[in-house]
Amino acid sequence: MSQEIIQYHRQESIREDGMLFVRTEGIFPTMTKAPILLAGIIIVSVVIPLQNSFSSTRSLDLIIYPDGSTHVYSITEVDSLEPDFAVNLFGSSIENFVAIGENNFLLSADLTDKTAHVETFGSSTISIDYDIHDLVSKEGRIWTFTIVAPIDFTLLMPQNSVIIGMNVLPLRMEIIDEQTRLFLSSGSSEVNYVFGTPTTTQLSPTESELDSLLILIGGAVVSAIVIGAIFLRRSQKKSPRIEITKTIPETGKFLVPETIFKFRPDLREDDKEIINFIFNNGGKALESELRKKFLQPRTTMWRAVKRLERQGIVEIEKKEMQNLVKLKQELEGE
Amino acid sequence: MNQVTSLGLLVLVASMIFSGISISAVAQTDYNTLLKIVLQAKREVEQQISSDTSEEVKRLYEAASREVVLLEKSLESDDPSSAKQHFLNAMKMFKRITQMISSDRPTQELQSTVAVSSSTLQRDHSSVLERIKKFISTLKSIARSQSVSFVEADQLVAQIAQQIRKNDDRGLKATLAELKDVLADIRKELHKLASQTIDDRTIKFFNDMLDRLNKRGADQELLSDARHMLSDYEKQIADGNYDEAKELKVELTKIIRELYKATL
Repeated sequence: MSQEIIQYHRQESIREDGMLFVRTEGIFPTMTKAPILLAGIIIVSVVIPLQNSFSSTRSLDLIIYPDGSTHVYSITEVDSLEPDFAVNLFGSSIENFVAIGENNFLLSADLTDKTAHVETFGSSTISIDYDIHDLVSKEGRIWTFTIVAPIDFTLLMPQNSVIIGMNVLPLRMEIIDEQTRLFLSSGSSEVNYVFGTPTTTQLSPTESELDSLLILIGGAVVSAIVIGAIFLRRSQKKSPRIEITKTIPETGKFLVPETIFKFRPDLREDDKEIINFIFNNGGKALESELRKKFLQPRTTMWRAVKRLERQGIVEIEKKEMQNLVKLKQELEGE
Repeated sequence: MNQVTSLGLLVLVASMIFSGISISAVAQTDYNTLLKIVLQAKREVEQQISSDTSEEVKRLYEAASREVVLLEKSLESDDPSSAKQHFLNAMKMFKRITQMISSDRPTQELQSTVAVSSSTLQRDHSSVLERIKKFISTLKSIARSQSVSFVEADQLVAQIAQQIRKNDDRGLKATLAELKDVLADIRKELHKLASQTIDDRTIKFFNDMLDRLNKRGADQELLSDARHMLSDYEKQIADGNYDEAKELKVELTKIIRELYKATL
């Protein structure tokens, strides 16, 4: 049926030498070419979200920590033809700011007062993470969260907090791991909360007291067992070590780098170099010598040495007001 | 063919309509949420009220309770505007009651000062730990494909958690300071690793933009200046003169933005 209609119009247009005569009921299939219309709609449907997307915040999620600091995470669509983008922050006391571009690419950013200038250089989406201390205030028992949000957002309340005041209607609420997550609308919002009375207070006094007593007794018994076990283990561990210290001569043995690297495969390359140096230096070296050798500032080397000590590879001795770093005789924990 | 096209059109139109509906649906309040929040607040306030509580507070609590009942009734009768009003009224009253109870009990507050401060301290430390964990997880997500070690940072986080449990404030301070340094180093390392790619991306961005601006008929004199500046920038990067390169990047960015805006 449709094939017949198309043929009919083609014939008509050829016969009339460029003049187009159509019946009214045939206007739509003839004048408006469906594929063009289809393409048009596709373009419109693609362009509308693109128009909205230039420099607009796509999502905003906030987490309130128990001390009132707040973590902000937002995803923003930016103009990829602009070299940088100014992100408005919710305050000026910012910590741990990180801007990430597409493919988890770290972006450079300069923070000035309440704005972060992020060098986007071609990114069309950036995600921003930071901690802020300006959104929550406290008066007496009541904590107050205040914000003027550019879009709808989610707010994860701290554990054990109870909302006791709100000046807006939440869109939704859900409980995640005993924490309340609110879905709030854009604009100005204020949420007041307190840290709730523990649930034990809901029990009758006798039940509560009985439970506390049982918990106390149980806790004491468990602690005694644990402490006893630790002492027993320590005394078992310590005795053979003292013997080794006594029997080993001053020129004594110490760990060889190969053994250390075998049992500590996660060691950093610079730590391995320090170990090699100490080994070649007769198993010990002053921290100042290490600093000179590796041209490292005092704090960096101190941290490196502490790192090795924590991993049971070296021990630190005080020698004439200096730190003497010695390779251990055996690797702790192996 | 026409049937296929019509079907395609129908699907497109339907998807556009439904996507619009879903956006507005997200913005609708789930009214049962209001009741949950109000009941939680009521329970909390109820626990604070005792025989010592002032008559004014008790009267306010009764009024708030009435608002809760009215909210329930509004929800049952499917009256959102009335539900909204009763919710806001109730929450306002619960906040006021909590404020009044707090100010009514200065002596009791004093008696529990030690306990409160110790729990607050614990809370502050745990917040610091939570913030650090979040920050580390962000850094890890960036470093996923790069050889940056987080072993030390993870060890220190575990140590901090232990020190918080043991109330070892002095040790905690030292470990936090150490972790701060470690994280600063990791961040520097990540920036260092990213810098090469950042430079490449920056140069590519400037080149692409200059070509695009040329096609749009941008001011040729300014374009020529920008091209010279870009080649100078590349040279400074290659020579490791990063301060000079940074200055050039700032200038280049200004020119390109100016040209871009002029051609819009």
